[in-house]
Amino acid sequence: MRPLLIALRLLLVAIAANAWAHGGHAHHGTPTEGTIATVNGDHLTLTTDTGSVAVTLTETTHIAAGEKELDRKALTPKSRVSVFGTKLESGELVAEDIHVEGNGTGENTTHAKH
Amino acid sequence: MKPRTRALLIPAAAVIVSALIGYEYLVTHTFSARAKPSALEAFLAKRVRDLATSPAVKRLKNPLESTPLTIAQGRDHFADHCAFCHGNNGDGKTVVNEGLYPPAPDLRETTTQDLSDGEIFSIIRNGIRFTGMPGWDGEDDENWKLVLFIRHLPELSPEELTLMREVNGGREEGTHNEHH
Repeated sequence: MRPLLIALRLLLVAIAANAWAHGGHAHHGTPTEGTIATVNGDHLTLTTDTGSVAVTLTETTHIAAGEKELDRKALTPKSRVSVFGTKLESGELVAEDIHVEGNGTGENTTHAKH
Repeated sequence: MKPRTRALLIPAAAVIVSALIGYEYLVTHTFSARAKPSALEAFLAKRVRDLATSPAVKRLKNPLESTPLTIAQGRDHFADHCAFCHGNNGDGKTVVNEGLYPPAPDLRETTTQDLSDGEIFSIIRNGIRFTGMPGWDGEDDENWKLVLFIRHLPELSPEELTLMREVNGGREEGTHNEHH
């Protein structure tokens, strides 16, 4: 009986480890949400509830509005965005995924008043 | 007694005595994971792991450059998947680790830092048998970033610890440090 219990425990550990295993997804935590204040090449400045955040885009930064893939032209001042990425010790946020609210044309449909 | 008989009896007696000592040890120490491995057991386990790691793996060099970004990516990964047992700062003072046999070492100390890049990479990827360290498999780039971050652990700053808590939220609250 005891070997059976040990085997069962090992199986549970293996299942738990497998559940934690993952592919190449990023380890984001929570997104940084804000409004784009400035756009300068690969660098954005976001205005957030807690202040200004410098965001850097890389060659692999993925930009989308819902299911729709966008290019960098969609990142314009006054667009509201959620940025997932890696924060450096300096406070700079290196973007991996940027979700543009609304349809990605600068119109913010999410907060539209009716 | 004939010399040949004596030559057979001595090793046989040694085996029997060893078995009795082993049995007594198991009975008195139970099979609890809360015990700490003896120095002899730890020494033997390290030697076995060392023997089981091929020279080719030991010679592997990290192909990634250590930059603020690659270290930060390894940091977020570590906070997400490793800190639950190892702690954000790698000291291993977590509730889970204190119940493991053997417990994970303090990753900032020489027991880990003296390992080669390839050995650390291999441990992350393949795990270590008969311990709580699973083989995570994972993508090579992700694992090499973890190696970069583990190398960086002795110099971890308070700001980096704050960023790690942003990633793993309350998960690292399981550390004894934060409970008491």
